[in-house]
Amino acid sequence: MLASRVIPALVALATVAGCAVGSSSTQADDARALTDPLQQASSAVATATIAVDLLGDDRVTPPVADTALVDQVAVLDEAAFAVTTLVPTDATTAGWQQDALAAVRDAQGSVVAARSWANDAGHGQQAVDDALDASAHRLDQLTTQLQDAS
Amino acid sequence: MKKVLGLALGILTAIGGFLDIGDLVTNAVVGSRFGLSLAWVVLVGVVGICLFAQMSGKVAAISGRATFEIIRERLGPRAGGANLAASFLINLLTLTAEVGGIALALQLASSVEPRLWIPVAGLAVWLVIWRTRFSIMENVTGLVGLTLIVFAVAVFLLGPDWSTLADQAFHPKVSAQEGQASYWYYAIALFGAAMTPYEVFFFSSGAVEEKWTVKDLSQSRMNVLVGFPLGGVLSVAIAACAAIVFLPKGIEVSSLSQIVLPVALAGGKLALAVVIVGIVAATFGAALETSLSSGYTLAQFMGWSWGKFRRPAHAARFHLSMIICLVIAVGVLMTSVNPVAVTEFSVVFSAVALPLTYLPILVVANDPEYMGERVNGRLTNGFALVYLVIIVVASVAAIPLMIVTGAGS
Repeated sequence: MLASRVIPALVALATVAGCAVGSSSTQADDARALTDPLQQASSAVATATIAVDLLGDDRVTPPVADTALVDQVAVLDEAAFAVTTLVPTDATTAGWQQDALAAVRDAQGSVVAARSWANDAGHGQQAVDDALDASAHRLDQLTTQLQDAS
Repeated sequence: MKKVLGLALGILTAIGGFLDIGDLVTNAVVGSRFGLSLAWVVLVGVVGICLFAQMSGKVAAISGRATFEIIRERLGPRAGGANLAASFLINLLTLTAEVGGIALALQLASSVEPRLWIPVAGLAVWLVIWRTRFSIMENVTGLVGLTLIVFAVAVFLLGPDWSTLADQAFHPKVSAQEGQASYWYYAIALFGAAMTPYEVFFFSSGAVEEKWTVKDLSQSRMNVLVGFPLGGVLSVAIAACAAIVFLPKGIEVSSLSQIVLPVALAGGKLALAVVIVGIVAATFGAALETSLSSGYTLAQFMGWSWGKFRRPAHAARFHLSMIICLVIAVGVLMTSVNPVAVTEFSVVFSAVALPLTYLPILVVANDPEYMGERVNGRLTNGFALVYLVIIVVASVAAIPLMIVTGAGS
């Protein structure tokens, strides 16, 4: 009788606890939670780099490059959302969150600039490539740092 | 000579018609994350679809009736109804994914927002179903879809390290980053993509549309046994392109625009144009097949008049049900839902519904009342039973793995 009441209550509690905001409890959990969106952002920047290189070499049409870039803008939006909605455990992880957000925002800027170039409205290809490289480097560095911390 | 040409046409159509949006997306995602370490699943899926497509074609040719008609009669309205509900919903989800796939492919050709293409795609699918003869519809989309062979050409042009690819394929390993749960989740997704239920309903109903008899069985067997495996080779080629270009850079495929980039890298604009034509043909062909399968399953279960060989006025409810399905698919996509996400869900839910599709086919193929002396042999039944075990395991594991992995994310 007791078990028939306690077990469903515990299951309900566990379910609700799983949905609670700020459920990550350690620095390692926060580091892991930030690593995923950073990898997602790195993937988007790497895809954008391929699209820009192919367009620069005249191996893709502008519509394909534009579609690839706008798709990566959407991926970066998802990554930024995942970073912004994390509730950090302490001041250290709050700092990581700010760094991650800045890196993702920087990547968004680089991909948006690449899209402008693909539509004949931005700086030259060299500037676009440099911006994408810098974003990729920043994301990689931060990802490595967080992987070490997790 | 005419016979040889007919055979060649059938095989080429089967190759070109094998791939749909589920195969394109799932293979590219898997290639970018796991390399070729899940290529064995394509092999398992292709053998399974050959086995059951051939079985359902045989049932149709011998009995002169489509599989779903017999399922209702043989299993009764309750079991048949459960089968209908599951198959119909999966079909509708797959149709939605295919219409979305057409729109995404047209976006690649035009840069025009997919939501503007979605109603155009839906209308075009309906017009072709309404106006075009079955054989023309099947052969044209299958033959144009054959241009997806450019993925296989791209693999060679990319000049990969063959030993690395072979190592991934023949010594599959799961990276620590991905984990076992993700690996098996995508194994089930690939299996579901290869064995999508609509393919067998379309195959058996198509056999009735084209008035197959026992004499046509050898040709249908060749189409299936040669065409589908070669279609499977194209699936592996898509995964290989992603494994060569994306895996080393840590790129995860999440959009159709990424899938064409390795082909452009390998063959430039010409190859790119060919692959876009191929994707439009593959998704358009699959949208036709899933629309028709929706009409077939519903009409055959309800006992309505059905078939493209009848004028629409003589199969009104069959045509109306397809129109409603297309309207629903277009309506769902117009909510801005991501067609790639719909595709990913459709292949996994296909895996969930597989036992409901394939068990009744096996039951009917062993019933002398319908098959006479041509019931399944021991070897076929042995293979089919092994596959039923695999199908049930995949079906049971699909939803828990989807929850545990966050749909593979």
